[in-house]
Amino acid sequence: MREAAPKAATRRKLVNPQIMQLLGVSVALIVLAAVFTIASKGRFIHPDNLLTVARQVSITVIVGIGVTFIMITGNIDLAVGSYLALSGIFLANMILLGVPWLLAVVMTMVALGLLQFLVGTVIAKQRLTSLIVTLAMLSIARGIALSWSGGKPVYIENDSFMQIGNGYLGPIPIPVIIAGCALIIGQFVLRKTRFGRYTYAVGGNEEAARSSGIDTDRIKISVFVISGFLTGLAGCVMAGRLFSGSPVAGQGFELDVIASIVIGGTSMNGGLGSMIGTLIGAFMVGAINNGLTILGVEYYYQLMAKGMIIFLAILIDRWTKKVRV
Amino acid sequence: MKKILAVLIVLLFAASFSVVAAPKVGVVQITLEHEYQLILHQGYIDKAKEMGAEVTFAITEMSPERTVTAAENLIAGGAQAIICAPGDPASWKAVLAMCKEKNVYCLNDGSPQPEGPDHVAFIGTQSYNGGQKAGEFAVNWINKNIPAKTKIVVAHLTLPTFTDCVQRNKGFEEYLKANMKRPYEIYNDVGSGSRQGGLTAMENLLQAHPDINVLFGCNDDSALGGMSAMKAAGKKDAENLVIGFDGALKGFQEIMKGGMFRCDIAQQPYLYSTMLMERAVKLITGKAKLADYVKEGTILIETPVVTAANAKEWYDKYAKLMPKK
Repeated sequence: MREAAPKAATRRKLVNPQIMQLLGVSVALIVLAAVFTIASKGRFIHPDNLLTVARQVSITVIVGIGVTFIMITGNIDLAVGSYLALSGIFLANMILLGVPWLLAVVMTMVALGLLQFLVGTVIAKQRLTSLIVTLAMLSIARGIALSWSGGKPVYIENDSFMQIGNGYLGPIPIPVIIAGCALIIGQFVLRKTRFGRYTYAVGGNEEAARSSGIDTDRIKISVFVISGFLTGLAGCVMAGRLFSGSPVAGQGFELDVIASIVIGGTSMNGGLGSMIGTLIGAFMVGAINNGLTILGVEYYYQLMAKGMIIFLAILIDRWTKKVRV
Repeated sequence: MKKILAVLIVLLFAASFSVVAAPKVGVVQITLEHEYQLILHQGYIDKAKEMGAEVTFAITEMSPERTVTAAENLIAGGAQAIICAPGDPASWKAVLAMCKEKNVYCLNDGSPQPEGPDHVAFIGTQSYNGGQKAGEFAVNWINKNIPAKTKIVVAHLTLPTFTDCVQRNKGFEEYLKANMKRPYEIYNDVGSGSRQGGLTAMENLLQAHPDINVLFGCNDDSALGGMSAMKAAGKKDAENLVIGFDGALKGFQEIMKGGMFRCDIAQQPYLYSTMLMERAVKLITGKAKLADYVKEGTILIETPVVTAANAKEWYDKYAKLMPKK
């Protein structure tokens, strides 16, 4: 006798969790933009202002791409703000020495890449927590920047270099174009290459990844190197914006970067994340800063509002992420 | 009926010309965690109200990149003039370039910078001269109160990344060098412009030089923090001298108590902010020309020396100027 057929399994909606993450944070950003637009009587949505926000977040995006790679592997980098300052000082001094600015930019990226190679190697080979190592580097790098510059900005008198921070290509600010290029390359590497898949694997389950033959140490070191290159580049863009290398630039910047990445759906535990999410998260943080200033919100309330908006954004993100796989 | 409608339309049309948008001024302040800045803030608000202008603020926490971002956001919010307090010359240059690009008036509230035809020069404190006055008070007090046999050990707390503080320390040190006839030792450490920073720096200095009997803080907060360290080390009021700079209410209170805090070099933030706001509004409304203010150049206002003789008077004056909650 045939047994009764089991009840039809409940239909489960299969939705890519990453898409749900992006959807959630996008909804949050749209809601935020709408609120700011209405409250500012359209000023927030003005193309000029949107380009301003885009230029402001471009540095966060460039650094964020690198740190997203790091965080997907389950690590973190708290020193990016200090690296930003160090990059600016390095670049400014190279230009002062007569190095052509384009070469100086490349040298800065390589220098930061090498520095992060050392950091990544210490973390990977010595099995040290990235939180502690990069916390130490936060102080070390800042100290180097301050002592090298004597605590003062190092001025850059080079009009063509300044375009990197203040110039336009048509109506688009050059920092936005640089960030866009970095984003496209980062997204391609993460989603379309074996390296990208290995990055997710290391973050998802390092033991399993190692057992399946992935050189997890090499992946960890590589993501730090990538972050170093990108932070070096971002430091050059910032130096262009400030007409100088500033030893005090980037203080607290790591918080903005990490907030952007987490809002964008990258998991603090590793294994999950996307460049597009980081981009949306960076816009969220930038829009909050911009919108609250335009609206003339008192500074003390701005600090509270920023925290609450980020909290709400994450809640909306979690609420829209109703998926069972 | 048609005639009534026509009259109404004409009246409405005429009325629309009589509605003039209020002049809008954006103010970039370095912080609101300081009495000087709070009084400055209140001065801007009071003068803007008196002149029928709108004022919006952005706070930078002394970060150069946030200074640039703040100015961008204020301009995006419709500011027709920016009163900017750059912590360093590099961010000032960037803000100036931005204001020029957007045809927005720019006024300097931070520190003396190279003057130009496109902005209103600095109105503020004679920081170097104020440092010299602190030095003068120190020399006179030492000569009267420290016995000839007693070693003179001077400490001064600095903030190397803030131009005004650099000038104050420089003025103090140079006055001592030129006018102190007795042998003395002088040491410095970074007080970070805060009580916590002053306390830590002074504790470290006292460890290395327990005989310190004179302290100059580049601002009141660091001086007060340093004084706490001196008291904790058992220093007696009668044998020691602390001098502050700013004119914080707490500084005046300490002077009135008759302890080791005997002198405060006071700034006049309410005066500066009201002068700057008046200039900004007059420029926007066409009641003044930029060229006239450019011709005036930098205006450095004398710093009153507050001692036991006049501390009460200054305390009462500044207490009235603190923000109304």
